[in-house]
Amino acid sequence: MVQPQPQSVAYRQIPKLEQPQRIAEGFLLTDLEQVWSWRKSIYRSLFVVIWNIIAFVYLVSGVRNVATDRGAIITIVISGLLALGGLMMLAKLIIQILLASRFFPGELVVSRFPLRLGEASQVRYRRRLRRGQTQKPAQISAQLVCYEWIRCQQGTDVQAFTQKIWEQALPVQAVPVGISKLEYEGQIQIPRQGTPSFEANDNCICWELQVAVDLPGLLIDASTFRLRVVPEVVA
Amino acid sequence: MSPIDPYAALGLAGNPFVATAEAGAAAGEWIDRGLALPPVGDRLLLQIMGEMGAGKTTHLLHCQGQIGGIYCCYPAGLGRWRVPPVAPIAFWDEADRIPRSLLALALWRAVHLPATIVAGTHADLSGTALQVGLRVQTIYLPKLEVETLLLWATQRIAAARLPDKTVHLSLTPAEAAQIVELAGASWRKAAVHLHVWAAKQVSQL
Amino acid sequence: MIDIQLSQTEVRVGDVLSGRLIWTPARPLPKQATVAIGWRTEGRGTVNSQKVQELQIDCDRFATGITTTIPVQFQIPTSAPVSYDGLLLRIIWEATVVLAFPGLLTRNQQQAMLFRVLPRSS
Repeated sequence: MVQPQPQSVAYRQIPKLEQPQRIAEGFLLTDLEQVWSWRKSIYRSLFVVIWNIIAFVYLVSGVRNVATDRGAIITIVISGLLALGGLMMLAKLIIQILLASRFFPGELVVSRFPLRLGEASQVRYRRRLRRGQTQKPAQISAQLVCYEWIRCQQGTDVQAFTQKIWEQALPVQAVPVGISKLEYEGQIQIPRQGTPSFEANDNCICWELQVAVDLPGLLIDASTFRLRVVPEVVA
Repeated sequence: MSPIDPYAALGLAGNPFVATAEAGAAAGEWIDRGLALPPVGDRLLLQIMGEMGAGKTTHLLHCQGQIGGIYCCYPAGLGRWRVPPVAPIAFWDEADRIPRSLLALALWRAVHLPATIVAGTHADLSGTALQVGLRVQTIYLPKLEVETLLLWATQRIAAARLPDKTVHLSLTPAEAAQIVELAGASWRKAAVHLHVWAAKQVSQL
Repeated sequence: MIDIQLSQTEVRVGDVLSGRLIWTPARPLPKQATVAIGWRTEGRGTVNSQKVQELQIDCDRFATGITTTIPVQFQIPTSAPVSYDGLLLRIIWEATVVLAFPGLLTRNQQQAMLFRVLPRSS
């Protein structure tokens, strides 16, 4: 596998390694990032609104005063950048709200948990629509990745980096029209020479199943599920 | 059977590019980029500007090591609400985080002490400094260059050499050029790329 | 200098790591002697570490000028991380013996020995 270059991540929060729920079909994991939380949404919305108000107030003030005060150009530039960032955050928030209003959180059912080195497991992803059915055909793709994550304080900054060390792309599957639940089934294989999961405060080896749903009319939505691989090799 | 320490096969006591807990350059690793030491007590604001990871903190700490003085670093958030220390020579890191009122007060004190303030900053502080009567000198840290990176990497590799062992790891100019392109102006990113490069050399043994 | 020798350089999770301490002490004798196994990370991230198991050695077993051999054994937990040499981080296991000597100004003596921890087979 051609290894990519290390990626600097903006203090990325790796998905929590949750304990799955045991169900008849296997082990159920939920994408916790997609679980609707009124409190989290209200905080985020307030933050984004206040940010945008402050940025635009300064921007408007700068624009008004630019004819009489040359220093207002700096105000316009800085507040313009802040306003741009604020608009991007607002757009992301709107998309999140739209997705949450249309879909329940993504779920993954694995036949085995935790996984062992050299082990294969069936995986089934599902995401239910809150109402209605799919209007257009869609596609679901998935990949199993293993990556290193490190965080360090250097100088006066804290930075995080990730480095992908292994990946397995699963086949793309089509989603037909007129269904109320997106589903994807596949099989993942943990390599025998792979590395078990490891988690410390600033150093992690993570296994993730990343599922991407490409729905026309909606930006690509992704679900991420952390898997645990124990230091045991199957016979 | 895997070797206990695969880096030993290259004559190294580990990966030469591990992160160090302390900020700044370790002893023997300082790369002289032709920047002079600042004068002490000169009613001067010397701004060291550069992108994140360009080496501002390393430069400040090196100067402090050479000529003494007080060093302080400003965190983000509430911790930045304190008056910067003023001494005949003082080093303020992340000085752009200092609230404007406290900055003006401290620079005014620097005029009257008199003091030289060496500030690592992402933003230009000359406006405030000139208003209180300080001279201002601005240094933009030079961009990461292939020759400088090669020199630094060679020093780090030599520092990791096992006693009485020959090192079998060296960075070529072509590899250094690739890393410089990937890292941009950031020494920190360059160090990460170098760490990955060294680890790949080991894995190919 | 105290010497720590391990009977194997590789051990699997869940297995026992055995070894021995060999020392011919000079005056003064230590007031405390401990031997421990643990792991630490090394690489581009902040160092994380964990001491997995520690044994106290009875210092009365040492006598000045007499070579003493003390066997030691450690249980590697089944959930322990395995040794790893990656691109951004490494996980390194080591056995460390620390001797603390009486006196405020006397420095501790420390010796470490690396070993590898591998996944176990089902």
